[in-house]
Amino acid sequence: MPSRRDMLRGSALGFANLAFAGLCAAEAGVQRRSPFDVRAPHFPARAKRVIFLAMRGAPSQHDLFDYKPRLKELEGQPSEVRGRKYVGLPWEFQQHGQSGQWISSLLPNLARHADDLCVIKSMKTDDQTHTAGFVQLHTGSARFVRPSLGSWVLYGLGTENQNLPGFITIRPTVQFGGAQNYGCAFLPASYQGTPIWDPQRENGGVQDIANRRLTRDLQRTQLDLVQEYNAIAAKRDPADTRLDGVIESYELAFRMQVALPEVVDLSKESAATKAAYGIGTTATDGFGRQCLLARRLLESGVRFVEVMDEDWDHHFNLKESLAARCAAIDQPIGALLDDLKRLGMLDETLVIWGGEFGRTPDNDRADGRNHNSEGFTIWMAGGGVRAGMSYGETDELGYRAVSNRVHIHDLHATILHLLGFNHTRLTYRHNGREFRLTDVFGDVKHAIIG
Amino acid sequence: MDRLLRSPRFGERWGRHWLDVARYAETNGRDQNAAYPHAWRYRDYVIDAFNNDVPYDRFIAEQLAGDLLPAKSEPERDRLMTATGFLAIGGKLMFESNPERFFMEMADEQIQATSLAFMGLSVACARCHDHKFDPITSRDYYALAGIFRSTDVRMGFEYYFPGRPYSPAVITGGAEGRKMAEAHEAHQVIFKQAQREAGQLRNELRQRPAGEREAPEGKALQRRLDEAQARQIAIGKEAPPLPPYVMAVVDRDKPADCHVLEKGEIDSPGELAPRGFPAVLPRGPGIPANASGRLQLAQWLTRPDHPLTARVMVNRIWLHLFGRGLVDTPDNFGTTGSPPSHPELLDELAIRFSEKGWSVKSLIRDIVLSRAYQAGSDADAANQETDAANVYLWRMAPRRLDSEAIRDALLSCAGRLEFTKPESSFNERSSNVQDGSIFRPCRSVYLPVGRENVTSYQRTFDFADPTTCTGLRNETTVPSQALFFMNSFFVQQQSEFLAKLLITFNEDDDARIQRIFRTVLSRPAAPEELAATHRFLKKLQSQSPAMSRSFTPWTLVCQAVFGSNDFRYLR
Repeated sequence: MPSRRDMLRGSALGFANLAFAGLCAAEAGVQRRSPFDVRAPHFPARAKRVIFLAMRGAPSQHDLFDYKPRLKELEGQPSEVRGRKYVGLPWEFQQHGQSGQWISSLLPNLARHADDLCVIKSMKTDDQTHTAGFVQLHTGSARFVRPSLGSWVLYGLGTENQNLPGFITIRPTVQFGGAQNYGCAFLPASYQGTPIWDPQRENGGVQDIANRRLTRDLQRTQLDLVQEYNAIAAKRDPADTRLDGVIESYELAFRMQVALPEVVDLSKESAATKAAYGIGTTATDGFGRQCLLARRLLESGVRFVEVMDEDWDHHFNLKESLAARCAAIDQPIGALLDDLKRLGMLDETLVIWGGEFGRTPDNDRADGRNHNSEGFTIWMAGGGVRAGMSYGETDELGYRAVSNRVHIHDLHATILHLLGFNHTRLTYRHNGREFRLTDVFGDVKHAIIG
Repeated sequence: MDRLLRSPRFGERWGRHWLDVARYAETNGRDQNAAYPHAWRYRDYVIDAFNNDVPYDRFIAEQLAGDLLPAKSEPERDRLMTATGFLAIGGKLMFESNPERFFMEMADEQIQATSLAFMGLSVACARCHDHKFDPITSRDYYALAGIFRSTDVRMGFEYYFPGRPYSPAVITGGAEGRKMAEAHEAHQVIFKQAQREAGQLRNELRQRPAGEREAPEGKALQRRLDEAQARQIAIGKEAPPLPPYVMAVVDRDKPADCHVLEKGEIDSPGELAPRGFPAVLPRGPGIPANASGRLQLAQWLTRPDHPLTARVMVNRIWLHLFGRGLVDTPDNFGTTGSPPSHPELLDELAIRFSEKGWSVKSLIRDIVLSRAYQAGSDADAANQETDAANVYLWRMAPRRLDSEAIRDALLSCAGRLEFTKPESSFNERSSNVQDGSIFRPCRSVYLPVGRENVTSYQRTFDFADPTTCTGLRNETTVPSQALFFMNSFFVQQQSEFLAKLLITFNEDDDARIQRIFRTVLSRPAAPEELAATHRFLKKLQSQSPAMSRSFTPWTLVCQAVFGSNDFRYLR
């Protein structure tokens, strides 16, 4: 199979033809000529795309999903950790749906979808500092610079819309690992995530999206020249994949000029849809726009979308701050799940919600909770996960996962499985050996697969 | 080589690398992104220090304890005070109303900055618990905290504490500086009075029911508000020039040790931790009761047997010359960092560095004259297979230009770069993002840097995040970078300027293309590049005969060469 490089070298006709050829190839499902062309996974799978709702700061499982009624009795008493006292449960819990899923009163809209959720209550990670935890959640490794989950998925599956990046991250944090969380490390540069910094701004805050001087034809002619220069450079250094990344990024940028302004333009959505996502209401406007944009991106064939929300680190002022965060995300996420169902997309879309770790049942001051890497909750929905399920348990007070533990590596292995990959075989050769998302770890948790 | 080391451009380049490490910014970030209108003086101090090759041990002492070092002259005193900006420019919890918590947070930020920058070690985790990976205890942390709590930061800001006490900035510039400061402070009093008046009227108006605003009384109030606002603006315009203030630190009158705080909580003080240095590292000098201990901290960091200081700096320099450090995690020499690829080399260079007077310039000279540095950048398939990351230095890996180099090179090729040194980027009352600053003709090191508020250009090209010490920047390849080269007015404008320069030479197309390549890529065009460019020019003729005078086919060629991969990589 000719590589993209070979194609470039053999091409005397310029890049317009090549880009066109790439497009056709994607549509016909034939030879992969661009790093973004659609590829079949190892085995057939339900999940075709992913939306990752990342709650930066570590949300409190005790106040959302992992119901520990004993804490009400123990509130204020010294805990098993010196200097700490148990923190009570400020919010009511109820069982929801046929599945009887426990969800607190902070998430009424999510509770409507209780029967779609697979809530994993026995998560575990290696480190309880934010940066390390957040980077490990995204890349599997806190210690080394490794490709992010989205990059692996894009590398494995390619993407369905050649006019938009296949991996988009909406409002990523610049701290806590910053670009590492959507970086591709040693994977070819084309698989890196593309940030949309601010959905509340024109064109999502993506600058320079339009050329104000050249017609599209003329711009194409000029871009062909740039790409010819790049192809000549590529011949000099055939193994440098960073160069392919630059070449691809130009082609993608060229196509994005038309596609991106369209897809980020939320004005095309009906007033009812916007209201459903909470757009126009102060508390929900920001995250609502992020979710609606994410839905539009998924609909357009983007493979992996990450939506980030910050400020879930509630050491103190839990009552006010956690309520504020939940008010910001609950309605938009409820609307997103409604929309995915209405469009018939939920079945093929894997929805993941979670933070870098969880929190403790006790704290050194009232009205807050501490970091906890030994037990926390994430949930998934759609994409072939078992719906209406609660998986794994923490101990009576929620300090640590005690049954059916799911390490971040296991979560990653399971996510890849849901997308049709054997996580031990989705590898990339670098520095003389094969690398994978799960390093030498990871068990697929078959029990949570529907 | 020696010419380049002597050039004043050297400090602008290498100083910027240090500013990454020093988390330099001109705004506070965090809870209130107020402007730091005097922070640029620290930036210029750093640039000058690299240009003058201030020995690195001295450089550390100046930044940690410049106020305590002897000075022979007033300008020297000012320079040393400015150096301590390192401890003063970090992000603070401006809206914290509890002084104890505010100062503890500030000390924490200073400990983090100091330990990461000089030791490549994060000590801050030990605030709440003994460090999980490295042998740093809570006691070590509070021993350092005592040093910084015994230090007063002169911010030029009001605290948010009850009564809103003011923390004055330090005045430099001798008698003239003091005179300017007096004028400025007098003006501030009047301005704040006007501000308060306008604020009160605004509140008064806001509290009235909507209907009343139309009544004569409401209208009169509105008129008074308009007048007050106009007065405020007028007074604001009459502001005298900013005096030579610096953000700096001095010792407090009564230095004191810190209590170990359980879980970092200010309301649960434990045993007293005498001011000192992490116990696992070599013992430091004793700290006199009447001193904060910053001077001793600097002495301790730079003793010849300190295992980290020299290695960390040598690694930083290596990293900027080769694109990759001998230790791949330049800010983490702890157990969770990467082990060195060439431990003996790192040690040899570190020993040489401290023995030869901590001269950064000689170290750079030594490395640049090495065979490894002078190796070609050609790829070799077998080596590429086993060591794509070039850990074992089988070639000089092509290095990506950082955001400053890209912009400076664009301006320079276009003949537009001016070697001016602009001063403050933010005035006292505005800390907005300054996207338009890209058009200023100065070098990028002099452009505004907002903490949690970098410009879109800086963000697109992986500028250092000024919330924390950044030894190694990200290196991303995203379509927004391509969009910048294709569509930004800035690149179009530089291409136009370069094209205009070209047509002043009366030469044929071949020579003109060669001139572009030599100017932009510092090399001649290869035959196939020439041919491609000719084909492009020909195609353009058929495609679009109508081009404006300022916007010619040559503009497009210049832009294409700027956009080419070879412009962005140094080989």
